[in-house]
Amino acid sequence: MPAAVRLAEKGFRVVVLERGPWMSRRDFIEDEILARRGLLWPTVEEEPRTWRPTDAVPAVRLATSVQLFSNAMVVGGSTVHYSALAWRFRESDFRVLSEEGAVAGASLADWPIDYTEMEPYYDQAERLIGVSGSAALSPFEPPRQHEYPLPPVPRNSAGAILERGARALGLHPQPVPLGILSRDYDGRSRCMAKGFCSSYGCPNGARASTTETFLPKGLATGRLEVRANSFVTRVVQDPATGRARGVEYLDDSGALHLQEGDIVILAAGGVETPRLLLNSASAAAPDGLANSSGLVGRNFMLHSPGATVYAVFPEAVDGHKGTEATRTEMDDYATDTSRGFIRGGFIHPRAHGGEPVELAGRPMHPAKWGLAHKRSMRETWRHYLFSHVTGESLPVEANGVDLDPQVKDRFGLPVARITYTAHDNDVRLATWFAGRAVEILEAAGASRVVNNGPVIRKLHNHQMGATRMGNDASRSVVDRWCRAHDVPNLYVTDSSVFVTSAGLNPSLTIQANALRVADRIAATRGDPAS
Amino acid sequence: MSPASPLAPGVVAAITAAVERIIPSDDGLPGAREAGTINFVLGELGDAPPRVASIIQLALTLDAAAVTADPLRPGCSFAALSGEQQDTILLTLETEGSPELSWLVETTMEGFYGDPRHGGNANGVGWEAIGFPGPTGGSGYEPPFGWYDANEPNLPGLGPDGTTDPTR
Ligand SMILES: Cc1cc2nc3c(=O)[nH]c(=O)nc-3n(C[C@H](O)[C@H](O)[C@H](O)COP(=O)(O)OP(=O)(O)OC[C@H]3O[C@@H](n4cnc5c(N)ncnc54)[C@H](O)[C@@H]3O)c2cc1C
Ligand code: SF4
Repeated sequence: MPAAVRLAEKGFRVVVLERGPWMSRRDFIEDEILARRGLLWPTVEEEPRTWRPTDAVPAVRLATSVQLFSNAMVVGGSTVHYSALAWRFRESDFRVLSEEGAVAGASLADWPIDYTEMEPYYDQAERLIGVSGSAALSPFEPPRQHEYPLPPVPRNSAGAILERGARALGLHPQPVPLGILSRDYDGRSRCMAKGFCSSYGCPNGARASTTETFLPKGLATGRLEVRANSFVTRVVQDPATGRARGVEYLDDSGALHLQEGDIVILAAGGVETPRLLLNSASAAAPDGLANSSGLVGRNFMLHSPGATVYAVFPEAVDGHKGTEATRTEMDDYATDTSRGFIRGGFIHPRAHGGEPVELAGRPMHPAKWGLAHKRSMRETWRHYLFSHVTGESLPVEANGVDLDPQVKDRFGLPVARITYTAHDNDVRLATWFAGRAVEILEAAGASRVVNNGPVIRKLHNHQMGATRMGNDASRSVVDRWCRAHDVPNLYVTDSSVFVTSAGLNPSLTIQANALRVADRIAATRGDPAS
Repeated sequence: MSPASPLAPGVVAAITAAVERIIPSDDGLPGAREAGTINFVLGELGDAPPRVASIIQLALTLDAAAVTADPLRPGCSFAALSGEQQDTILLTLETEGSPELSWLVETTMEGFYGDPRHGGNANGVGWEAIGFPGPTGGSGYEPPFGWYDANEPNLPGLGPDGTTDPTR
């Protein structure tokens, strides 16, 4: 969406094709059951996917519990229901190979771009979406030309608890930069702190869904058209010129159309973009479009294996109010090899946002049902929080997305088969950070802490790397401008182009990079020779 | 009273009894029975044949276990057992890793703690039980939200509403 809007603003006529519906604020109901049934994401029936740990074993279908929250199917994509942590990657995140040296079992590389090139685009993205934060209060911030456009959102008790525990340990708590408005901004109203935030659409437009931030500006140009319920089946390549002619898509009646274009940009998410390229194989590109390197689908990353730590506190946390994560600590982000792993991440205790069914299934009750469970629900609801640990995952060439040879989707197309086993470094990192979260929560006075440890990650809502960016056409899929090495008018602007994952949520980097790419396309009219 | 269901009355009785043990009312506080959770569970079964078949299978398993559970009442159904006896049978199934039971537990939680507009959690009793006022439906909250943000000193320069930043 950011690239589409920027190009429309620069005079291009742009068509956005989205397989999901076009929803508006009034469709965003605070209803946990609807959220669990896939209001904003495809169900496993609509979009089956399979997973295997390695190519030595057969793949199994992913369960709803795994796919839920891993995806989106709505105009605006996952920004419609994301938590809106709006991080800039750090300088070292763009040069992991140089910083760390080669690591066995990992396909580390430096990005072909660096933080300095990204900084002006981070700055623009923060201003366009309205990020609330405070550089002055964030001691580990990378260099930036401007302060955040808005001050931090009100702190909740999960944030105050992080502060309390982190201070007790001599760490430096700071606000989480959030794409949530702390004040009215750019014609949008500030957050009303009503809970049901992450995983739900924002009914007053305070959270930075691209339908609130970029889209209205694109529509105002009169040159941007959004076609919802339009499922792209393949990119069509002209065998004579090698250029992309356009894409084929199915409308909601099932009719197939060809949408031609001078330039094709894919931003279908970290799984669907590589799948689409592989499903676009032709006589000219038998292994999939843009795949002469054989790397389409490879080097897939999902962030470190998601340890979640639950804690119960003696006084009320009342996590059904406010936004979710408001404070974090970044003290542990940089590599410290004495911990037994490289790279890092951060800890963000969260208010639960008002989801009692979710609490019912959490691993903090003495029983899964019965009187003891019922009592525990009553005792924990107002008093508990959970802390996510987000950490860097190292790229592994064998981890990837390809086409499942057996399972087809509702249109008869092969579905994405995910092959994924986290690198050992990721597991050590997640284990250490979960221990750190326990330490912080205990230091803050938790009466009970449950550490569910690292989990086997089959899929996640951060999906990166499967069409890697690089200068060497034999070792990457797209160039530094995110243009396919093999197809001169085909671009990718989602997190598939990430070379490494950083230990931070990806969306602001996706958006900043998309703006950078759009400016390049506009400057060259998509012509690589200029 | 159970709603109209394509399931045989015996099946509905066994599943209802199980649902009422998953969230019991023995502590004198509303449980699945008062919340009408069975309505939600039967509604969720809908007409999806595999799910209906597996719930019938679960009911048959429960009744079969009941037959041997109470030697003094041979041929007894699951629904007619005491709560304690029912719990023992459910615990055994849980230990065996029954996927049908795990579906029923999850769905019962949804039908007790989920939004009343789907047919369970009648009058919001599930929310009341835990102290959740429910979705705000258009309004919001002002800080402080909980005890900790009211009492833990904030970062320098940030005021009680959490955002006041005198530098900007
Ligand atoms: C619950 C949740 C919380 C999150 N929290 C954060 C956070 O705090 N901070 C952060 O940075 N990130 C967060 N994320 C991740 C973030 O939302 C995603 O990384 C980001 O939205 C990815 O953007 P994208 O454009 O690459 O893909 P998506 O947002 O997934 O958008 C891709 C779109 O393409 C559509 N599409 C796919 N295939 C086709 C096709 N063949 N034809 C037509 N359309 C297609 C999809 O329907 C989808 O709408 C969160 C995600 C979730 C689900
Ligand atoms: S808590 Fe704020 S940002 Fe989140 S959905 Fe509600 S109003 Fe929107």
